[in-house]
Amino acid sequence: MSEAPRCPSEAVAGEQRVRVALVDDHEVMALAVAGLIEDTPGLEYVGHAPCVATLLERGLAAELVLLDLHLRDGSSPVDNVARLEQHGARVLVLTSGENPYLIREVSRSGVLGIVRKSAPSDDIRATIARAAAGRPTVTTDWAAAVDADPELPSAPLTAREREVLALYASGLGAKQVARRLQVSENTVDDHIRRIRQVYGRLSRPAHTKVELYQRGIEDGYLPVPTR
Amino acid sequence: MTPTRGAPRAAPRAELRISRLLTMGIGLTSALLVLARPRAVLEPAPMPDWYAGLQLVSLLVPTMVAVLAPRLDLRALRRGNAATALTSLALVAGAGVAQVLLAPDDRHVPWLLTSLAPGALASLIAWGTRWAWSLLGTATAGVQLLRWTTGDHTVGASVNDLQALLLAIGLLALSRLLLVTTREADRRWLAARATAQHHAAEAARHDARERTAALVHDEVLTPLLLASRATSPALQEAVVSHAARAHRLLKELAEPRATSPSAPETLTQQLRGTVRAEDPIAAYSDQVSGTLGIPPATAAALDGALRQALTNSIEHAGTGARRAVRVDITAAGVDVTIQDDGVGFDPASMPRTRMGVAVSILGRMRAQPGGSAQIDSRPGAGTTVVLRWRPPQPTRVATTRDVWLTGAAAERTAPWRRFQTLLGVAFVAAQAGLAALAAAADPPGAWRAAVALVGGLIALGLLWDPPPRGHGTGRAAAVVALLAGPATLSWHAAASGRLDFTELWYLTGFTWALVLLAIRGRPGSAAAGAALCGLTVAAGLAIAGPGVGAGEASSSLARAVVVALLAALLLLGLRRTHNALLRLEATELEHLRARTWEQARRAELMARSHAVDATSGPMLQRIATGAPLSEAERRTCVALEGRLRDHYRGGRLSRDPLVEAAMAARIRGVDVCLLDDADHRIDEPTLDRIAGWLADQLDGVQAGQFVGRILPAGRDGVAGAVAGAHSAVLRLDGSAPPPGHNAPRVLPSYP
Repeated sequence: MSEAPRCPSEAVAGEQRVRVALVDDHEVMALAVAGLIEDTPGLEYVGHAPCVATLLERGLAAELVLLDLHLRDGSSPVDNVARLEQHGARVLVLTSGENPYLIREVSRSGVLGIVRKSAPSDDIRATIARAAAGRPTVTTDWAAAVDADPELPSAPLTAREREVLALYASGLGAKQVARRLQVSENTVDDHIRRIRQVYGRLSRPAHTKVELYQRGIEDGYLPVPTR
Repeated sequence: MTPTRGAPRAAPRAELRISRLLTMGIGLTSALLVLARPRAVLEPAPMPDWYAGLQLVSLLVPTMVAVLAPRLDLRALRRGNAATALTSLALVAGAGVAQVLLAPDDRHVPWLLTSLAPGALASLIAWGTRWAWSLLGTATAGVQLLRWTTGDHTVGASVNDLQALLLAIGLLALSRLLLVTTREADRRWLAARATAQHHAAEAARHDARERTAALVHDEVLTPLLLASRATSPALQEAVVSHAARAHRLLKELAEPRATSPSAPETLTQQLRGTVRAEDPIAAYSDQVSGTLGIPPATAAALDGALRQALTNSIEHAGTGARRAVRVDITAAGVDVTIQDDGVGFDPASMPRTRMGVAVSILGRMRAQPGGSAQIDSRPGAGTTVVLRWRPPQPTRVATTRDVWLTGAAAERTAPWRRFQTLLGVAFVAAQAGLAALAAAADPPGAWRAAVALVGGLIALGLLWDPPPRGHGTGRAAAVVALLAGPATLSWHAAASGRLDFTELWYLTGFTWALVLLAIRGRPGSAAAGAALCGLTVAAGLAIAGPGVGAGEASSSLARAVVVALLAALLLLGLRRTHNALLRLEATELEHLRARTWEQARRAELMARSHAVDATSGPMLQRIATGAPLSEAERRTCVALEGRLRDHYRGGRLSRDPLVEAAMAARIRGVDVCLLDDADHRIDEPTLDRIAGWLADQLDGVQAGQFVGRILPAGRDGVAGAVAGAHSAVLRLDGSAPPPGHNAPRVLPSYP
């Protein structure tokens, strides 16, 4: 991996570069991502694997792993995230963006964001950079999936928090959300942090047939619905 | 399960078979009647000759219809039986007419008229229940009228008539039950076919949609996306080959692929390959004994689950753990065992996230009909995963008793029970009366009558309330004994020189018990009982030699035994054809399902892949040529990727004019995101309105990002649009947004 020239303003003070690995079943994606990461200062691309098992097998040590949401080995995204986090990596999810159920499934776990592969390259780069620094990013895909979760009404969120989520889900960016609610961006960040916490801890009831069906999808008993 | 039969039958057959059987039974009875008393039939002197002809016709018609029956369909059978019924009515009428022509001393009721069952049964098949009862009633009334007007009535004759009537009623009721049951079975068969077809088609379409979606996600989106962004030569090259592959796969998707089930060897080859690929040092062994057709979907599921199990073991069993895979294929099914001697785990204490793979193995196998998986592990003792597949059996073939249970269920309905009770009471009363008469006629022999009555009543009592599984062998034997036993008493009567109808009343009467026995699930025993009784009394008659009333006795006995035998044989035949029918139907249903599934799936796959190919195919081909893309072409790639994505994530938004507006916007350079986040139903006009509104909003956006979203239920508005800092909400009632939301309703156009 060649060293990218560092811009002083973007140099991570005193720290080595963050190692980034990719889990995606397409080789061609690896090439594209490698190029993207090498162009970003502070990041080092360490390699690619078609599934999490192979990544761990190959011993690719990385602090940040870009994980494709839908892998062909049939593994569940939640399971993949958990395994990666167990091995000390933070996860940023990449998605083609066509399946809200999968997005919802993985949004409960502590991923640093869910990024659409077809988003503008600058946005993707910025999100990866933030993730490398350990800061989560709120994307429309994540917010829309969470906002449309049928169990959200039962979550202990304040009206303000729901508003924040709805505004993000509608497509607004952080700045616009803050401006719309007439609060600072930090406040908005706090709200988001709380939403993540609450959402991650949402119980998984199975009292009604609908809930049972949802649990069935999440647990892998039922095929994930597509349109 | 390769279909080996020809085209499936369209019409169900159970009622047809029963009707044929009954018709043949009627014909057989008629033929036997001729054989039993040929003189009475052919030369019924002093009846006029044309009456003899009429009798012959009335016997020949059912016989001929019976001979033709196996070749006739329901309509023809009905017509044939109508002819039989009409001739039997004509016979009664003719007898009445003939009486007028006879001398008063010669007037009598012809013997043949006492046998009304064939005519009644024929009218049941031809015209239905009501007409059958009417005909029976009319004919009986006609015959009784004849008796009174001709003065040809003796106690024996009345008793004969009564028992003939009761037997006819019994047979009619039985036949009606059979016809009703089979008609119901046919109806259910048609419904089952329709349901099976519907479900199979739905499942197939769903499967096809999933396959296409998987293909689009896996193969088509990526090259389109990266072609628009490819910069480095290495990436370019990879994109080109990927695009070629995607295009090829799209074309292949629409083609008919291997749909017939694969042989066991194909599966073992596939599984062996998987094991080698995942874990080269794992031990592999397989054994194939017997032939089995394994559907492609099941083979894929087994392969996928095997791969997952191996991956899981590699991940968790620890270094140095060795794996062994064994595949057993027999005619009964497939068993794949993946065993490792690693560290194992305690299923009870595993956190849910770690169980994900195990759970998805279970899910994948359970998604296959007949598939299952079992995962056993103990800490320190390794892990064993067993994948099982058993080909789904056709629906359980009913046991021989079940056909009676269906009938028995019908028997439990109130009107039927009332009828049975009434019939039973009338019957018992009649028999008791006859017993009294017999005792009065022959006081020394009264004890025979008493014994027979008691025996017969006990037999009836044994048969009255059938247990759920039908009568057991012991009970059937007891009934036969209770009827045949008193039959031996007739020898005593014969020895004492007195054997006539008054002696035999109990036998001819209680053959009704044998018919009941046949209905209740033991036609074999009933037939045996009838034969036994008949033989016993025939022996007695032979001993007795010709005597007073012996002719009458033997003919009525013959009739009774024949009827009972016929009933038993009918039901025996029914039992055998019923089982064959059930088996046939179950197999046909499976074939129908498989055929429907294949056809629907192919149709849906072709439709879907053509739709994707039509929009994205040309661009994929263009990319695959390897020539660099122009800026416009890159934008088009983005637009096509977005369009495919919208089809899934945008859901109901994927319709004109929004699709066109999104394409145009993406080509302009706008990053368009369409989201259908409503789980509830929205009617078409509203959806069109939302799409139109979003298209309008989109047309005004020149750059940046646009998000169009159908809102979840319970929000303020049905749809929202956001571009940069501006947002708008569509409300169906046209109301203004609440204060504080000073967003304009229409987005401003960017310069």
